[in-house]
Amino acid sequence: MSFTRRLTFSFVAILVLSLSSVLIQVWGNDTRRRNVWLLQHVIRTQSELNDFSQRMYSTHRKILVVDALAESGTQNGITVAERKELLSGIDALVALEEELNDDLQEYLEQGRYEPLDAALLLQHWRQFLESDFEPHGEDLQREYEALSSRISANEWYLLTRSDEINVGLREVVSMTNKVALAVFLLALITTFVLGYYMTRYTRRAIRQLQKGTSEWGEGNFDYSIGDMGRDEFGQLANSFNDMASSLRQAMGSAREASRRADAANQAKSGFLANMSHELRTPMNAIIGYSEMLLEEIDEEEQLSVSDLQPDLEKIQLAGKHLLTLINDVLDISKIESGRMAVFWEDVALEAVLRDVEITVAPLMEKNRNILHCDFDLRNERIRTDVTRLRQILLNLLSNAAKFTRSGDVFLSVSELTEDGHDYLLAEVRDTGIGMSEEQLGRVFDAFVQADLSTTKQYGGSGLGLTISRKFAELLGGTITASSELGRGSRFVLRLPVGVGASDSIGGLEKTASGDILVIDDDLAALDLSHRALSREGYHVRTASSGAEGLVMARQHRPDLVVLDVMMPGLDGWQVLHSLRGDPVLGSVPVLMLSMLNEHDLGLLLGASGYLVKPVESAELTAVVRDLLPATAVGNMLLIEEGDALAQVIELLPGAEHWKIYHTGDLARVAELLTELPWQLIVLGPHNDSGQIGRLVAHLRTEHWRTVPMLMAQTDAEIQSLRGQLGAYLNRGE
Amino acid sequence: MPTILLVEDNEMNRDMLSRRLIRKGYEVLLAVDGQQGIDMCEQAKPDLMLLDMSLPVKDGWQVAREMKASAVLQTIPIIALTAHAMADDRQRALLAGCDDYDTKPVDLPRLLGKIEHLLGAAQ
Repeated sequence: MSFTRRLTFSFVAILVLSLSSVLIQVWGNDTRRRNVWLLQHVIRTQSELNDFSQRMYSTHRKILVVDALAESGTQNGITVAERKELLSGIDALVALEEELNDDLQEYLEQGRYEPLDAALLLQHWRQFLESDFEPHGEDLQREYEALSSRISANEWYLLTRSDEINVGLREVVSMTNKVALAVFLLALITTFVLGYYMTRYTRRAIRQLQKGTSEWGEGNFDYSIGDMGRDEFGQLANSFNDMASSLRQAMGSAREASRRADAANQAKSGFLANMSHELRTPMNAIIGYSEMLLEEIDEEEQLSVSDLQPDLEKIQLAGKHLLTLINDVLDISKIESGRMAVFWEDVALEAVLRDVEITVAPLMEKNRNILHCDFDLRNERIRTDVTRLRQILLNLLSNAAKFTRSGDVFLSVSELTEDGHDYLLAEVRDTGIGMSEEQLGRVFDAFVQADLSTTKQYGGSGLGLTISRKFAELLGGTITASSELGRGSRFVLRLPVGVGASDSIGGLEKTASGDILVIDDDLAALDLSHRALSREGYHVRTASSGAEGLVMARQHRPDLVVLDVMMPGLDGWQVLHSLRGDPVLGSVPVLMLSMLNEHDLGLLLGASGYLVKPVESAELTAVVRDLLPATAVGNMLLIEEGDALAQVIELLPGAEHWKIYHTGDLARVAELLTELPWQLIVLGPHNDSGQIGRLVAHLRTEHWRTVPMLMAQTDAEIQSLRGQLGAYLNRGE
Repeated sequence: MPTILLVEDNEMNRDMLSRRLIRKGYEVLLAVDGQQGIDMCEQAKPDLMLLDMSLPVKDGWQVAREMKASAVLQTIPIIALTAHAMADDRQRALLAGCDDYDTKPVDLPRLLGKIEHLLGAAQ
């Protein structure tokens, strides 16, 4: 039973008791009043009857006197006036008798009264008085006596009746008192009993809830309050249980997170310990051998260079191994800290695969393995990060070659579409030594395979698979492994491709503009620079010699020249000298690239920037961005009525690099939006807020979503917008 | 001259350290894994064992425990050599029964000091 229903029940019970008490009081009052009224009337009737009886008696006495006088022959024993008075007294008695008869009939029960029947006697009296006093003495005497006895009977009846009413009255009063007392006691008992049960029930419920909360307070979130029915307490308990279960989940996930953090921490410590071990091993060889060589040089007079060569080669080998290790560790740390950039570009997949095939050929030959390639390509070009893809494939293939002797290695590459996305599937399978379940479980962990004696042939670090998997994950893909001991292993790389092909990826970055001339005799480096700079949005021309570069520079007047120092024929310094001497090209910034760190010399000779090869793409583009004379960074659409915001923007540093379209006409805005590509939209004060709202909603749709938008409607907002705008405007510099 | 058994799986380190010890006048025996190390101790009874801990077949800690449990071999002093240079690595090596501990890269004068100290104590 619900708590409310219990309460309602108690309330209703007490209400019913109170109501019945009131009803009984009302009934008692009513009965008493009726009885009192009856008693009054009975008493009045008694007195009327008494009065009637008196008057009858007095009239009777007078008639008897008159009769006696008449008998004695006395004429005119009664005056006319006296007779008249007697007659009118008789008339009154007639009326009185009628009234009395009615009253008796009304107030006495059937059979408990006798009709007075005085009418005959009264008529006889009237006849006696009117008929000149014929003597009737005896008859009248008899009739009067009969009437008198009837009156007495009725008097008795009335007396009895009033006694009865009195008794009834007393009974009613006593009964109402008893009932009132009973109701009072019953209400008292009900209240106590209900109160006791309610209290006990509430106390139990609260204890149960309290037990739950204290259990949870002590951290025992598995505790659950037992079923408490469906009343308010039950609902409260359910809410508490739900809360506890949420808490349990939250605690669980917190514990899980902390456990994971601990595990990650442990893995990190393990990695660090392992790394320390791995770095120390080649270091031990390097230091050991070099110390030994120094000792030998010190102690032995007759020492030829060829004696030293084998140990020097060992030092070199260990050093190279150390470098590989450090690079791999740096790669891992870069990926893990999210600093590893992904460069999506369109690549001819088949060419990449052929290149990989050629690269691994020597590794295959080393263990007399045969590489079988099977490419099933649908698209000529796909969009991916080709450097990472190559690295993954080379890692997988060199592993396969390493652990297979006189066997077969299979590289199968295919493309598939799933759920509307394109995937690249590359499978590397070998017939080598394979792995046990246990080895398979750890194969992607760092340093599992690391061992100088087994990896020195390949320059591997034991981090290849770890890095490959991380690269694959970086590109949104997976690598899975399966293997059978003694039968071979199978690695499957699955990469989403073409996912990054949408134009929006470029966004603001593509806004860089300017003509750049790259002069380098190393075609690979030339290609690298070309790709990196084109990707940024620059227009790039290339020249593969100093002489060609100078011709092109004079012809096209580039905004910036990227110049390699070491070139056959006309070298970089000479080209720089010629450029600086040219009246037109003298002020064009020149960025020098060199194997040697001659930074200061470069700047002294007139270079605007100097980078030491090998140059990272990001580094190159960053320096080029710094050197290029500021050009329009992008188009800014400024929508406002009036020019309050325009004035503010004009004065901001960096604003001069933006092409600002300023209008308050929303129809013109709609045209501009479709006509030009936008890099920044600024919404200033405008009266038609409804239209502006719709415009904002429109700009937030898919197509415009990526364009940064700033809003300022009031003066205060315009002022606070300065900082934000400043940051945007300076992005181009 | 005392005979030292060098148990080391890494070819380069084995080559380097053995040559340096020979140059210092020790006779050096070589083993490439833990089991071979124990076998050679039983056959050749070297005066001291230099034990790499990360070994194939039977690792260095296992070798040390077995050596110290054997009545014949427990007198041969063991110096643990490991590239594991974390604080508790030393403790782990000593707990396994090694008499001393040194880290890679090897600081030869320090290692020689430890070797001579242990050889002196054994005599």
